[in-house]
Amino acid sequence: MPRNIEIKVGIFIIISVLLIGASVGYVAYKKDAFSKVYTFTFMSKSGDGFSEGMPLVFAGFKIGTVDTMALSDKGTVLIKINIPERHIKWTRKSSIFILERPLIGQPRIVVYTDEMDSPVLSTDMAPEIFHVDSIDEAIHKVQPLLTKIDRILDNVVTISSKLSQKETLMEMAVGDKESVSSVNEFLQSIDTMGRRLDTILSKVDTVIARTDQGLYGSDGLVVLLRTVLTDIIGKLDRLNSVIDDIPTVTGQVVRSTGDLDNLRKDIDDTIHAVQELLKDIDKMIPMKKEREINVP
Amino acid sequence: MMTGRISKVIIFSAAVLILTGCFSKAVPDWQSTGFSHLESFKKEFLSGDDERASRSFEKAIVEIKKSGRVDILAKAYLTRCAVAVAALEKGECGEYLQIRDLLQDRKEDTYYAFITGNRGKVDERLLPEGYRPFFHALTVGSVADINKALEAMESPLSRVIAAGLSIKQGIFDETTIIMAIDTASYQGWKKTLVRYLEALKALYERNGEKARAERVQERINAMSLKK
Repeated sequence: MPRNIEIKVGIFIIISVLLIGASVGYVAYKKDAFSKVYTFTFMSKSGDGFSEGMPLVFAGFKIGTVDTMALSDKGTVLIKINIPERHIKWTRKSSIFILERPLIGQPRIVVYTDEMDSPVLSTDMAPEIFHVDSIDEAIHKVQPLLTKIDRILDNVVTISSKLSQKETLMEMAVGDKESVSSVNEFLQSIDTMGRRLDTILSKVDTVIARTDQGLYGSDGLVVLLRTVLTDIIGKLDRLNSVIDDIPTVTGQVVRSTGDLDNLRKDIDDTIHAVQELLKDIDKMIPMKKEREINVP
Repeated sequence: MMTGRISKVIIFSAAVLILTGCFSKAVPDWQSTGFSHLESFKKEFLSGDDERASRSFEKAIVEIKKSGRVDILAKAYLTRCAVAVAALEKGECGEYLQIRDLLQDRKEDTYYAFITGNRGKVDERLLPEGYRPFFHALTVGSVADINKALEAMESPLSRVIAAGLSIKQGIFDETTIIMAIDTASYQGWKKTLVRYLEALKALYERNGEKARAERVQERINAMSLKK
């Protein structure tokens, strides 16, 4: 009888040990303890904000950890990050790496990968990690500008829908081919401008814009946005002169409907709003030599 | 769809502004707006949209005057004078002359002497760096060196201004004009392009190359300024 109990206890202990071992093994497996880990070297102009153990995050998931940091002979900071083999696919040659330091929460390095066709990052590359500081504070500053953009787009929508009402303005302009074609051109241009904005917006998804070049370079987002807004002003300006001419062509009776006056007011408001926004954008472009007034 | 676009624009703007918001230095309003208007003026003037150019220039002056900076005001007036040279027109420098006594720096006066062809009053060391090799070649009277200097110029507007000066002073050849034509064509400066085509045509006519002159005229006709 006692011998039987000993056997049972023995079996219990063995099963318990096996279960504990399996659990530990499973957890370790899930934590990539058995998978091959690659060490990548990254470069940063400053070591501020980095710390050992800091996570590397892709789409909200941790895919790596900062291992060590060192100062290079060139004065840049070299950061070694361990990434398990199964997560390497998220880091491509075209990926952008950004150190985000929110006001609330832990700092982290975020990977943005848009082109999954791009070659996988190799260990002999040393991509740069860019810094973005206190996003929450920036959002706070930006809020009034977002309201302006919203209002401008509302105005543009109003103008384009008024112009689409053929029974009013378009018919008033009948007999003046130039006016009609200008109005048509404007309506088409709204669509073109929309497409151009979409193109610009798609660039944001790649987050290439987070580099200085992406923002301020000749093809940078700030410059592109500026171009589109300037284009909107130019087209609205031209439309304004067409609208000025319509009463002389179609007679003063047209003006009495009030449609033209309202439309003119909408256009003026939009032009003013876009101009104000352009000023705000201009102010955000760092003081660069090319924005100084100089003789050509 | 429009709501979707609005949200995208808002997200886009947030991204741009977030990224710029924290580490950008503020540019004064007058400078930023004045600069934009002056840039528009150059483009519009060289393209032949004179009415709009005139409006843009006035707007630029209004902005610059807000700062009370006479040196920048002088630069704006000289800019108008220089782009007229680029378009082979007579430069309007009267406004600059009205304020020149208020200036303490001789740089503007040197530039004024340079663009008005008063070579004797130009201090080469005070000229903008990009023009120095050109001015040297112009002083020596070497057309080959002038062309070499034009080719080396980075700014398209400076290149066309320099070409205009060479033509006005009669120190040029076919290559000088063709370089200005190519630059104006690339930039889409229609009025300027036509002016240099006319100069090229005149050169061919003077050289008795009638067929080539006619071909240039046909090219001018094909892009009539009216449309």
